[in-house]
Amino acid sequence: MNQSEKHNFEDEWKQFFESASETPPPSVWDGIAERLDQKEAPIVPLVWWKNPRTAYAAAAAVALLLLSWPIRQLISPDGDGIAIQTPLSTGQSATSATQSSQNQTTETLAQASTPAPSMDEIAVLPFGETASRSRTTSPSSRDIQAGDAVNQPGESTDPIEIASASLPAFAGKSAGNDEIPPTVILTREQSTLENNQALAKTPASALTEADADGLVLTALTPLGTSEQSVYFQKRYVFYKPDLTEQAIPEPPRTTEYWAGVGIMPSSFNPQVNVTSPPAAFSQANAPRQSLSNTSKAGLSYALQMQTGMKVSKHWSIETGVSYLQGNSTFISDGYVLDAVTSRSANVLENALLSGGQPRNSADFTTSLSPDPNKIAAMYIDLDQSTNNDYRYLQLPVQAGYTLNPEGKVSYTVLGGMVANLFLQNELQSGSGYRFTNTPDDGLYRSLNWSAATGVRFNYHISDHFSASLTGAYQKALSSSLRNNSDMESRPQLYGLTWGVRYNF
Amino acid sequence: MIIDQQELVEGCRKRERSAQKQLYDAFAGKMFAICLRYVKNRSDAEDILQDSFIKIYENIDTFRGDSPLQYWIKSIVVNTALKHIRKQKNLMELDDVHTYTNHVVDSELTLSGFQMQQLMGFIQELPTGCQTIFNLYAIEGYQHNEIAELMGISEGTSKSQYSRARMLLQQKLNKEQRFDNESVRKTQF
Repeated sequence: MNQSEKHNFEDEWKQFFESASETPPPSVWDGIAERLDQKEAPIVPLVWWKNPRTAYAAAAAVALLLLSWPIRQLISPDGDGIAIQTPLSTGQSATSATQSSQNQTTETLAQASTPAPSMDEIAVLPFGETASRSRTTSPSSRDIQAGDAVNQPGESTDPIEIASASLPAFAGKSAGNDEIPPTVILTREQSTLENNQALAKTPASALTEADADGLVLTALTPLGTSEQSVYFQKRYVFYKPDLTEQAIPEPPRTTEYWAGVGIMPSSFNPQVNVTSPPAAFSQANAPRQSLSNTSKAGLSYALQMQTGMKVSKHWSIETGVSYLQGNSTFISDGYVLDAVTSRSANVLENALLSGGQPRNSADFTTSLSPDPNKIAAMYIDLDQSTNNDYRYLQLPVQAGYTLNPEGKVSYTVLGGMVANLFLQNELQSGSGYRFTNTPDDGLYRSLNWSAATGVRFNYHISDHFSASLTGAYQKALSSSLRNNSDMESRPQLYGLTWGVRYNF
Repeated sequence: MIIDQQELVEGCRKRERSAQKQLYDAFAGKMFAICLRYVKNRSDAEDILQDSFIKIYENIDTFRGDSPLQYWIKSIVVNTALKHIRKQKNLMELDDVHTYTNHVVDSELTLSGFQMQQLMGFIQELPTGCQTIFNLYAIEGYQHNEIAELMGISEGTSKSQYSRARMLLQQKLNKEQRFDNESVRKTQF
């Protein structure tokens, strides 16, 4: 197939259909016109409004509502301040009207500031009732007799009055009749705010007469019985379920203080070790190069007062004051005897005396001083035990990490330092000799540091009180003796503290 | 009575219903024929025509008069038809694998003697892809690259589909002519 054939084929089709035409059905244009109308039509929220009949009906309904609203307010039987009465006589009514016209103004009518009659004074009386049955209005009430309006229609500008007067029934009844026609007298006592606003919106021309005399409506009340209006009141009952207000939990206090007391039965061992035997021992026991001595722990106790501060959820620091009574026993395999004075001193005592210069030592000090080894001293190789009791004032500073801090039972791991203030040391031999040292003697350090650690079990009794059981261990970091090369002492303590704590 | 096209356009711009109706009356026949070529039935063609004229009236302000009004209206109708076909998803059957270049062409074939309804029926019987491409290429005068861009297909697909459409149409024409000749011969005897 060459190109010319190809073009011929296409041109043929093209020419054929170029002039092709097919008449579409009329429904196509109808559809187009309808769609165009929809697009071009202005947006009217209420299409039916464009219907004239509907518009007229709506206008009539609105007009009817506007007209019926004040009337409905006036004849409302719910005692909203308007009384409908039959006057006693024309003269009385005229007098009343005259008084009203002299005293009342539009503003006072609108404000309705006059004392309101009680609900009992408000009555609606039908036409034809005798005057005696009607209630007498108070002198201050603004009454208008309808007769005035009927007899002098030209003076009244109230459209309602005019309309009422033009009613044939009423006109026929009132013409040439001395008897007062049935009249509706409206008093504006006890008018509500809505009524006042409605009146205030009344055109000035309509109020020129009415403001002085009040509104007069005649023949509005139908003859005979009248149906009372039934009003419905919608009541909206809002049910509020009992909501339990959830108390906002207070954030846990990060800083918490406590104070507590405790007693710690403990095992105190001064770990005394006499390293240099007495001279008498060397002389008497030349083959023995070492001296056997041990220090045994005794039952001790400590009275503690603690205070602490919780610095975070888990961490706390604490300090306190503790009085420690550390009892122990020193056992040596011999003692030194002064041959001159027959006084004896155990190895520990001898070492203390040789290493320091006690000023307030025991009563035998004078006999052995200054150095019993250099006098006629002998070493008696006989086991001797000596009570070696210490008294310390301890000031611990420890940090604690508490596990399960908000639980009923919590666990605290403690670690820190204890400042041991030396108070007293007393050696008491079996024979009754006592050797007492105080910080003033200079044998012991007045301050000695110990490392402390422990584990505490806390049981929270209440919000503020908790009981604790603490296992403690303390170990002196240095010798408690001062400048003594013959012996050393690094006390250690195991204790179990029972305590009670008050959390602030 | 509005006669001049320019006045017709001005009337449509003013949303004058009479001008819109005259514009419709002037071009609806030709445009409806175009619509019929692109779809399989009259109902779809009517829908396309309706949519097209709505677009024409809505966009009449964009017509600048650079080209004849008929071309502008035609382009809107064709585009609306393509959109309608795309919406129907009939273009999915387009096949760009096979080529139909080995068909036999009867060079003596002519459209004379055929009525428009017949030819329209032939076109409507084509597969949708072939039908669309045949219309665009053979009658509207688009090039294959333009068709490819317009329909979102490859140029090769456009060519192959057109070849297929052409072959199918020629077969239909041949068949119809043969039938006509035989019937003429029978009537002579």
